[in-house]
Amino acid sequence: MSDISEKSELEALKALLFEDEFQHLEKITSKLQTLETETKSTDEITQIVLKHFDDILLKKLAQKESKTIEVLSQYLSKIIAKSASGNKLELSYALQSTIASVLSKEVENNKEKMIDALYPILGGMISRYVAQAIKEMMDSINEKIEDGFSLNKYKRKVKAKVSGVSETELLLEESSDATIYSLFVIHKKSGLLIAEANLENKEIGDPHMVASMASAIKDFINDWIQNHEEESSVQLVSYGKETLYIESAGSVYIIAFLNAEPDYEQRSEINTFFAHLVKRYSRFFQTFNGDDSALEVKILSQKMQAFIDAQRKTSPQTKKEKKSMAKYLVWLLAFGALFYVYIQVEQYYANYRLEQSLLQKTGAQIRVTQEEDTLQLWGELSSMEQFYTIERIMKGKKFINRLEMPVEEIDHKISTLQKEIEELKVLYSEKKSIKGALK
Amino acid sequence: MIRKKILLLGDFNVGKTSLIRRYIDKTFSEKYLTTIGVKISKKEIELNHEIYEMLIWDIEGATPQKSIPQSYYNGASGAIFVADISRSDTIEGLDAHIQTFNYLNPDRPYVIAYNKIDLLNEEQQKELPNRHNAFFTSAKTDTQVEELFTHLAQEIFND
Repeated sequence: MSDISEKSELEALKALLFEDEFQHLEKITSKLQTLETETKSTDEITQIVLKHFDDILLKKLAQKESKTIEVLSQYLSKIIAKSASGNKLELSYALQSTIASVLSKEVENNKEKMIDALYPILGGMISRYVAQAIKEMMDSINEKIEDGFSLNKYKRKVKAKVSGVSETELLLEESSDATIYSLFVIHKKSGLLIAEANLENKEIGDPHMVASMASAIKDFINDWIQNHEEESSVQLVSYGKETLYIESAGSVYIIAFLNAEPDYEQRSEINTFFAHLVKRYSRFFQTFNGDDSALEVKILSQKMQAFIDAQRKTSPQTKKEKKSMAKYLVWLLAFGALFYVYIQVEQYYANYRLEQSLLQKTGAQIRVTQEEDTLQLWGELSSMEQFYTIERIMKGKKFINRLEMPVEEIDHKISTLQKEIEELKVLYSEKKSIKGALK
Repeated sequence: MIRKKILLLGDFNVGKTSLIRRYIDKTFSEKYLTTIGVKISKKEIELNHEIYEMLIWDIEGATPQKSIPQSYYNGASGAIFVADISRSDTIEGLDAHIQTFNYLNPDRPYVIAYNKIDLLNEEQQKELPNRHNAFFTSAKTDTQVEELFTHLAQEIFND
């Protein structure tokens, strides 16, 4: 009994003396038990480490720890490859923004490297396109140059001299051969389409939307230009092979949709036609209320259609036909000229042969010319014999004698004639006196 | 057919394009895609047995840094001014748009769309401001969108 009471007293004393220590011991025991459980459970460890994993990894990467980077790099490519084989779309979305920024950064920082990498692919591609475009242009120019008898060639030469623009530039301009396939007249303020015309099978889908959009683009550019320059407006909008030629006047503007940039002549044609429309329909344009069932719209559309169709007559094909016609005409003229030259040469040689014959037979240098169908003889004669010889040679030929006779010969001839006259006079008076005697 | 130009104006991200999409395509997307420049849509509407067409210019949202080109306002027969009901600055910004529109197109009708009404609870909806020709719309829940456009069309084409 006493043992028991002593023991309990000792325990009580222990409890009193080591109360704090016991509590601490209990806490440590409990913690040890928890740790024991956690270290044995993989899930528990993962949960604990995962909380700090990102921070640790980032810290390691920031310190550029080679071991971490080496391990990660081994698996990174595998992860991407795995993702790519699974959901490609998701991966492309994930990489989209990164790739764009990486590329722009790379281009900015390593321009030359990027060029080196891309040039073999893009360079070749661009070269092929450019080469093809140049080939097409050169073919067109060559065709024009080879067309040696074309009137346009000389017209172009004159134009180049007058305008001061080189012939090559004019040729380049001509090589455009643009065709207007659509024509829109648009209300300037509202951007509403008033009338349209299109080449057959070249109709523009949803023209009212296109007109409004074109109007918005024009407004936007004009607004921008007006902030920089005064009195300017957009006139040409190009996208790919398509070109929009815009001409503005009063309350409307016209848009010509072309398959190439229009040359000066085409612009001038469009402007003249547009000026005619504006003059004729200005009042209607000013009061246009969006109603395209108005009679004016129908008439306007017909006129525009006629304008578009008329260009077919002057389309590149028709231009070629016209050129061929001109070619034949020039050939004809050339043949005519050659024939004329032949006649002239023939005539010259006939006269030359005659001159030689006259020289041979008279010894005199006689020049033969021709006026219309009459020969004219020029030169100086030394004797009347020569004159008579010439008259014999020229017998049967229509000619005018412009020869200069020798003065002595003429004087001799005159005195001979005078003598003969005197003799005749004497004979006559003798005859007369005989007759009187007989009476 | 009679066609008219209608403007859709307001600050950025108030839901102008969503309203158009809801009205024309009957669709809605949570994805926000900012409008660059102008997006033009058209919608035919029948009023008093006549067919009319509205060419709606959905103009990119104005910001303090970027104003709308004045030429866009020209020749408009009507306008819809849109504000985000959950953003007071967009409501306050309406007056500037209306003023410019009235200056360039005097006496032309317009309506106001307090959009994104679905973001407010019933209590908040009861406290909404009452303004002439104003509609509390939601492109998301298709609230009053048809009414908004029809009302403006009636004012324009029945004029």
